[in-house]
Amino acid sequence: MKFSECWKLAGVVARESRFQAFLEMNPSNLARIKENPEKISRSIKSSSRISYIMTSMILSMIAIIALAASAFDVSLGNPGPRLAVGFAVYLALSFVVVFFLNLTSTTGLISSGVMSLPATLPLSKADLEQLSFMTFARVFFAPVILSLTIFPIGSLIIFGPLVSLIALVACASTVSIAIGALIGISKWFHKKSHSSDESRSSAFVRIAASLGIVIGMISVYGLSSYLPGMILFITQLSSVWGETAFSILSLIFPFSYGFLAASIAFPTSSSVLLTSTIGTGFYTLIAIVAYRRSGKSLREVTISGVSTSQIISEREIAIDSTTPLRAMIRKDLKLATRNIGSAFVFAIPIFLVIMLFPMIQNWKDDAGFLRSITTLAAVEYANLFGGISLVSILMFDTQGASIHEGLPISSRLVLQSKTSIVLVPYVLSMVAIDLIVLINNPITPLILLIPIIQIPCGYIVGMAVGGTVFRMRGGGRAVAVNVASDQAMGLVSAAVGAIVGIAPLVGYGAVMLFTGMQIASLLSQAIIVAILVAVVWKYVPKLLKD
Amino acid sequence: MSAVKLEHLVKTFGDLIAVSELSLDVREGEIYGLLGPNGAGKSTTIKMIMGLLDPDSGLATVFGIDSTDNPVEVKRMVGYVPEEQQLYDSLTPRELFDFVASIRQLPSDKASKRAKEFAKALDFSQHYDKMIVTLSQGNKQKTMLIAALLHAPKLLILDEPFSGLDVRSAKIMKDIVRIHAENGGSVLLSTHVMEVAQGLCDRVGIIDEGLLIAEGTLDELRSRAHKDGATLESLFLKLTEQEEEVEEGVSVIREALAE
Ligand SMILES: Nc1ncnc2c1ncn2[C@@H]1O[C@H](COP(=O)(O)OP(=O)(O)O)[C@@H](O)[C@H]1O
Ligand SMILES: [Mg+2]
Repeated sequence: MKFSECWKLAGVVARESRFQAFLEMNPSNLARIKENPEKISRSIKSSSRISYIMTSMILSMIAIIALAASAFDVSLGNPGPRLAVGFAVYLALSFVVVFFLNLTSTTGLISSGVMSLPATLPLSKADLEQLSFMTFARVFFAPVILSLTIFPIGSLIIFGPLVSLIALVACASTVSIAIGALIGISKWFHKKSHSSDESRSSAFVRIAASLGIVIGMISVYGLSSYLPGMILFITQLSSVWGETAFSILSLIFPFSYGFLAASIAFPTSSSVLLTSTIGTGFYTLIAIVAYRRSGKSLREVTISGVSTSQIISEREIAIDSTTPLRAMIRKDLKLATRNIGSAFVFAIPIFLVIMLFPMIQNWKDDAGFLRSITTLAAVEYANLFGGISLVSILMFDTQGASIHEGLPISSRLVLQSKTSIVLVPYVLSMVAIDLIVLINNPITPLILLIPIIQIPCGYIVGMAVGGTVFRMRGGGRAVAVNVASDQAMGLVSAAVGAIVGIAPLVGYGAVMLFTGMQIASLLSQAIIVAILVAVVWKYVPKLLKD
Repeated sequence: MSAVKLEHLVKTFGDLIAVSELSLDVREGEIYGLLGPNGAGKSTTIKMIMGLLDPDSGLATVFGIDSTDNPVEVKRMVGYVPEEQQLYDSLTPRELFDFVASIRQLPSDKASKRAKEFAKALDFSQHYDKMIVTLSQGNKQKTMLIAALLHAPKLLILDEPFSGLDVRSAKIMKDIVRIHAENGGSVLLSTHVMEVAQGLCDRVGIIDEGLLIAEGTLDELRSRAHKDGATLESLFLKLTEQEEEVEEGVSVIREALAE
């Protein structure tokens, strides 16, 4: 098959896989959703555009920071090692970006079975492999192309054509190896998350894997700002060990490429040139092999699926029933630990800490004390995140429409169960804020009570946000929402969470301004929380409809 | 009281009238077959009965309860197997049945006993702890069926119940439907396969393009069509005025295949 022909075909398959992924994410209330097919295709377009833009922005940022740091930041040591390390850090990060940002779409591609139709056409094995690989490449076209262009072009401008050529080879190899790893891990995760012996250890593996992925993604966002520090650290490390450190480093991926580029741009010792050439050759070879193998293993998994072998010890058939509310929560938690994306919800307190920590440190007063206003601001952030968590939990309902349709589940029960789940990250967030406040020298320990008193607000935020979303998207009926494709609801949820959650904080602030008394302020916060709980408990269910 | 009562039910999707002024009754203890070609409006009708779609006008009640006003109460009484199967892929049937039984607040021992019996009858025991995503189409359907029967519903609503089943399972499915009716339960099933209705349904209603064009026992329909000894299939084609279309279609296909 001709390349261009295959590329076009792959576009069709890729579109289908995106569509399938979308349906998989949004099948709840299928009966109603199907009434508006244009809306589906619109949201698919917008969601894939958003993820392109996100990936592109992150990659460009990393490339610019890495190039700038290695070319112009003289505080980081000699130009040779600087270039080498900047290069390597970019490659490592682009590996991580390509890998993590596409993990969900890859798993989707594997489980959706989109390749089963082309497999029935008269295509040779080699053609099918090529097609699988290209579909795969098209699904995350933007990061691949970007990664292959931005950095080499930047290098061309700053360091000249030879370095740029090495950059191109390096980026291509990195992408190829990342794709290989991606396929491997997706296969593994698919297998793990779809084998269901109910032992605790397998649940642990699933949770660990999903959390690991979430934390990996968070560190990508965080890392770009710590990049110059990393370059400094590595150059300093090697200045302690001297030449040998460079020689050893240059044998390791991705430093080989960096040191080869550096040896060409700046005069370096011949031993580093030798080792980095060996390293580069070796990893490029691996990349080529990975490219070849990826096609084959992609064909296997996309066409015939991953064999999910499992030991089934026949256990007695029995039913263990509990209360409806607990059953809803139990079901959601099970689904969450078996799905990569859903694990996000439980990482929200971690996000919050990463965000708040530097902020809180910078907000101390002249005497070095942390005042109540800082805590109030931090809690308000948590309210906003609480709104986002609730709408993310609604994503769990994108499965199981057929089951839901036949069961007597009231919208109120759905809302109660989601709110109960959202309480977990909310309470954890409050605890996290208290910990940060505690180690940052609070002006009085009474400040620590602000997040504690705020805890029932998790219920208020959950009910209010859920009620609003159900009202807006389902006319009062419980609906599933996929924030990735319905960003408007994400914004609304964050706003509602922030607005209802701020009332007790404003109460605290107002009393503080007038009286300057901690106890009175905390009391006013508590009273407002209590009133809101009552209001929400009484009125939000009235917004709902079955 | 009727198990299901539809009065002048109307549902449109934009310009398309999917269900038009549909009125019918499913009596207690009977098996009622809703027949019609693909796209006739069978699933749309059933979704309105279940309260999953709001009718534009008209009324659907189940044992006297309005489906639009009180869908939760309707779902409490009905066992429903929809046409499309969107189960929880990453749960096992065991986990799913636990969920269903809890939502319906069934006592564990009673539900366990029923689950055991159905699993045995449907030859399903060895799939009880596999993840649903790994089950075959037919086994997914069995999962749905068991989930719908767990609470011993008075009314079963089955949308195209025989489509994914092998011969053995289809036979068992039919027997389940029959036994359910013998014990006083009612069944509303939809199908586009005429043989299914023949010999299983007490009464059938034939709908086409959203209109109920004939209703009655098989014998009644036959005499109405003035075609003694006709099979349900020929009757159906005649009623829906598709006889000529089919003949035309067949001759076109004959030509196409001859090339
Ligand atoms: N959500 C929907 N939006 C638009 N048209 C629909 C929708 N659901 C069904 N239809 C249309 O209504 C008609 C009846 O559909 P359906 O009730 O599913 O038929 P049946 O189950 O008898 O095959 C068909 O023409 C179908 O295309
Ligand atoms: Mg149908």
